[in-house]
Amino acid sequence: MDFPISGTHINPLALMSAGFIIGVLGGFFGVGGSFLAGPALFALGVPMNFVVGTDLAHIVGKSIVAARRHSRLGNVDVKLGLLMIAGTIPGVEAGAQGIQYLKRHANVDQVVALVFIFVLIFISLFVAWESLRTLQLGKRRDLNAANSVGSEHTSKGDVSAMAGVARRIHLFQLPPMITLPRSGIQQVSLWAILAVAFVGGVFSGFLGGGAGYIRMPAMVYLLGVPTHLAVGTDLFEVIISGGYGTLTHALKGNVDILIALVMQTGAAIGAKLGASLTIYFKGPRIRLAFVPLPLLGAALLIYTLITGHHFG
Amino acid sequence: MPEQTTTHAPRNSTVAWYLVEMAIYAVFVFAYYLAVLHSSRGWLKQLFDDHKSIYAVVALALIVGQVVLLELVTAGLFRLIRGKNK
Repeated sequence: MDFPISGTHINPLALMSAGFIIGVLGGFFGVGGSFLAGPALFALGVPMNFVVGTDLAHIVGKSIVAARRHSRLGNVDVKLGLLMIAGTIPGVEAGAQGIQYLKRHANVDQVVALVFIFVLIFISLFVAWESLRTLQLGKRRDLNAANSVGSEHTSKGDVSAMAGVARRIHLFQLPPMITLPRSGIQQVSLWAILAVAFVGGVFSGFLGGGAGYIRMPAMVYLLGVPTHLAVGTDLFEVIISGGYGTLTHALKGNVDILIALVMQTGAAIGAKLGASLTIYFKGPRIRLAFVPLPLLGAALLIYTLITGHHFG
Repeated sequence: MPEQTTTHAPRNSTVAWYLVEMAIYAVFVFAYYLAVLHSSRGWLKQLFDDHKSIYAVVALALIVGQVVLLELVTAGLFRLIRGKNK
């Protein structure tokens, strides 16, 4: 099928299948899936500027459904989400301007793909390191429950190897200071929230998708937000910031909405399967199973960059 | 790797329901694809070329509208199939 907006020819079944797989993984791991959607679209032959804008459009729809589900479960800190939007939107615009700059002055495909590969490998290594370290700390805590040496907690009992970092950021007293009772945070500088949101926004505007792979861990490890609230709040925030990103990228000619719509039809049913599959698995080690996925995305990008072969 | 749970019967029925849903959903999507997506290519391309600001708003409205519609369809199918099964 021809997609005249981006000038690409892609088999719609391949697009739906990509959406389906991304939907399954997103439903299973509770993430948006842009770490695979972007590389998949690029591998199907979509130019990188359209990959970024189209993936943002795709993620907006997904986050509406997921955020509604999390809201019902009480997993959204609306105050934190609204504050983050103020930082994310300028970040998204900065990222989108970066894409425009590359469209005019450089080879956008190569530059964005290389940044994407670097980010995906970093995420994978970080999640692997953090999960293993947290598991080790958990074991040590079990052995020495009364007065553990290394076990650290974020708010509401989440165990994380990085919780000390959040505590240090809470000590950063640059006013205005914000209280987030829903997230169990007594005081945190507004600037810390805006900085985390801005960086997430830049990744979202530059690489597409909701950038939950950056913002969500940053909320947990840097701000100390409990994981379940970080996931729900991130999704709530992506509805607005992703909506803005879709509009600004569409105005700049970077959104092929037909591709997003076709991919979404597969993702909708895949997400249901992914969520159903969670009854087969449980346990903290599930995060380790996530580790190969960003690497798969990176491998797809490297293959497409080196060979120039498209699967569409 | 994640630990496996031990209850097999509910899982099997969940998978069976899911496969039935998926088959019905595939028919819906194919019809939707032919009726809406295939026929809307022309005017969307025209909007993209001539009226970027309208295209941007329409694009956002389309993706939100489709997601809400698909969610309603899949939730309806889920209720219908499980209701009959009970």
